[in-house]
Amino acid sequence: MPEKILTLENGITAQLLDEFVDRNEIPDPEKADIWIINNENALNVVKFLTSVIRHSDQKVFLKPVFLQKNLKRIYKEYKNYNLKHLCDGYIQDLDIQNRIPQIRFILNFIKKREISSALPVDDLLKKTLLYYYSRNKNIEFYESAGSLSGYSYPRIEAYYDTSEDAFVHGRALLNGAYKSDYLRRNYVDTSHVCRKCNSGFLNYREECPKCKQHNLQVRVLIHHFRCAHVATEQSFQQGDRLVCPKCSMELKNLGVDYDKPGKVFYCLNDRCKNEFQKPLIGVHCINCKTEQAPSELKLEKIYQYDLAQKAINEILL
Amino acid sequence: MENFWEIIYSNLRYSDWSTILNWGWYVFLIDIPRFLILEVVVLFVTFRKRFINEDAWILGKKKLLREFPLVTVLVPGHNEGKHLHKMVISMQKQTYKNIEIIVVDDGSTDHTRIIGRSFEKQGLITKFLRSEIRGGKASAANLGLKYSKGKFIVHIDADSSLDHDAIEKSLLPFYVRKDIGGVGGNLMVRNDQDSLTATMQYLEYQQSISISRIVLSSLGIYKIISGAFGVFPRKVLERVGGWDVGPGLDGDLTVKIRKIGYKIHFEQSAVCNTHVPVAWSKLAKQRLRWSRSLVRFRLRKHYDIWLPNKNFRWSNFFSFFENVFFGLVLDITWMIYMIRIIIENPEFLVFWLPFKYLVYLLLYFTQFLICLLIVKNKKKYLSKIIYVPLYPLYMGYFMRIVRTIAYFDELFFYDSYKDPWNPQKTSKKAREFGA
Repeated sequence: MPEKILTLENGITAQLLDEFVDRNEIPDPEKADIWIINNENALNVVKFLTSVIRHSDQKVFLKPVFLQKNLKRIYKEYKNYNLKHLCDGYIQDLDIQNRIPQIRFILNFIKKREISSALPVDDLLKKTLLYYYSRNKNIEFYESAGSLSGYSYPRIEAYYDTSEDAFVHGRALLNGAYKSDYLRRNYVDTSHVCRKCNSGFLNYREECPKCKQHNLQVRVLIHHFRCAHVATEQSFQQGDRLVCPKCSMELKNLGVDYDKPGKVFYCLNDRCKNEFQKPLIGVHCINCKTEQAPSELKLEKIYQYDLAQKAINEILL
Repeated sequence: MENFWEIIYSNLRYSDWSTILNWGWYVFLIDIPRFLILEVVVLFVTFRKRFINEDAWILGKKKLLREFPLVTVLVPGHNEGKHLHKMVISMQKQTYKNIEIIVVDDGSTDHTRIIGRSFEKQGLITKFLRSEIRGGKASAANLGLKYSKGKFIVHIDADSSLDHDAIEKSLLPFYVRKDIGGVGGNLMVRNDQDSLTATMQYLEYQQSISISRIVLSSLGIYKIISGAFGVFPRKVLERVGGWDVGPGLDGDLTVKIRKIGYKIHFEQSAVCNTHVPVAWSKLAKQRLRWSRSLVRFRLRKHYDIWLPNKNFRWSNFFSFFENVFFGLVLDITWMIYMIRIIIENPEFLVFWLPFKYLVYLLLYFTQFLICLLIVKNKKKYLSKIIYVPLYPLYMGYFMRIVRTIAYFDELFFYDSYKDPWNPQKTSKKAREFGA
């Protein structure tokens, strides 16, 4: 099988990966400077990129990897995979013109690393620091419906198999690095996640404070000024008109004849039938089906990280 | 001082009784018989009857406790949150235990919502309902009525606290007498120490309001169950459509219940301690409001009580007649006589005013002593005896002048419809439709 190796601008060699991706096999990193994914199967691509990220050889996990823009349309259906954030992004028709300085920097960095130490890197933090240093990028989160909490650090989370491990260990990794001064962080957002499974896919709804059921109906109250009668809108309705059940007058103008001073919830549970104004809020986790009160949810702060001086010093050492 | 008494004495000697009767006949023909004869006789008969019928009341209590119906305590109010805790405590101490408490917040602008919701959450009150827009006391009470479940509705003001047996006592009449459509509780002043104004009202509530209600109730013509503490069967309230636009909605409700054929009972032993105005100006404002209702409801809205149609009932007629006669008619006659004396025989005033004062002082002292037999806390009541000399002035001048002003401004200017006590949007509609 011939290997598709091309020489692009500035003498940078690129290997087009197709069958390697299907087989999820890591090619020999020495053969080309960069890899370009040439495969339409998004699932296979994500598996392949994950393997690259998890690989312990720094020549592999630091390798510049690009996607092709003409395949973007096909990948679009699988935007949960975050393909773009698992590699160096898209290029159009093998045009790497404006990526050259970046690629050069990475290649030089890998070369320098190889001279000082060619040993495999298994420490996840170290891999992370090396990668983000070589890319000169911050560790940013992305909002993604496919991730557990809705806020995801795709490249970090790719180290782990299950989404739960990805969340728990990924966050622990970043937090640990922050605490030991390898990373600095900036606050971006706050989110609430399931206390049991950390999922952000939560359903909030009103609950009856008595029976905790959530099959409720809201009824609007009407106050008829003339006779001081107050009741639900339904009891005033006669066809298209509003007629006061107490004094039989027609209510014509809101604000002049009547107003709507509030609403009342009706519990539709036959055994409860409670009427109340202040419902409880119940949270149902779509992921693990746990029911909880809003106050029981886990509070998650979302940060953006960048490398601290301590990390840079150690890398360049 | 000597001079003063001399004048009186000489006047008394030289003015013959025909002059005195000519000018002051109403004192001798109306007030003295009313005070002494009517009140004493009726009170005697009432208490004797109660004593004789004691078995019926014991049986009534048994009936009540056997049925043990749910009773709703309905507390509508605007910016009354600060009083709720005291009210809740007084409810927890009730001897009658099957009660639910519904607090209705009529668009309060203070912390009432937070207080009420937290009490609801803790289970201290059964339901806290809030109207986001202020609609007036009637609409708040009606909202509470809609969501109440009790067989009886106990309507109280947030700033009144009930004696521990008040609910039980107020329920008994429904199990002893037939066709009772409402029971009024006995109001006492709880802040009598606050000022002279409050002390005078303490006397008034004890010996005028309470006693006259016992008498009127016995005669079957008691007509205002005060909003501070009244008990109604829910089916009766539903039949009359609950409360109508105020001020004066409590008296209006009582009349509506009387009109559909029910009797109204005053229960002297069911005691409610209420907070009265501390300043004279506030008191005057409150009484102006009360007195305007006489014109608004007795003469205008419920004018059909006076008409001999098929719904005519003598008891309703007399309840109105008593109210209008002793209020409006006598006040106007009093004014005319005073003006006539001033114009025709001003020297007579020098004799007449002290003389009249002495006559009324004597009457009020007698009343004080009679009342002393009835009141629960005799020691406290007795300690107020030094204020009795002021009482003729309080009742005869202050109250009478305030009342008369109220009648006039309601008769000619419909001032009750402008009272900020009630939101304008509803008063406007009430006036438009004569309600």
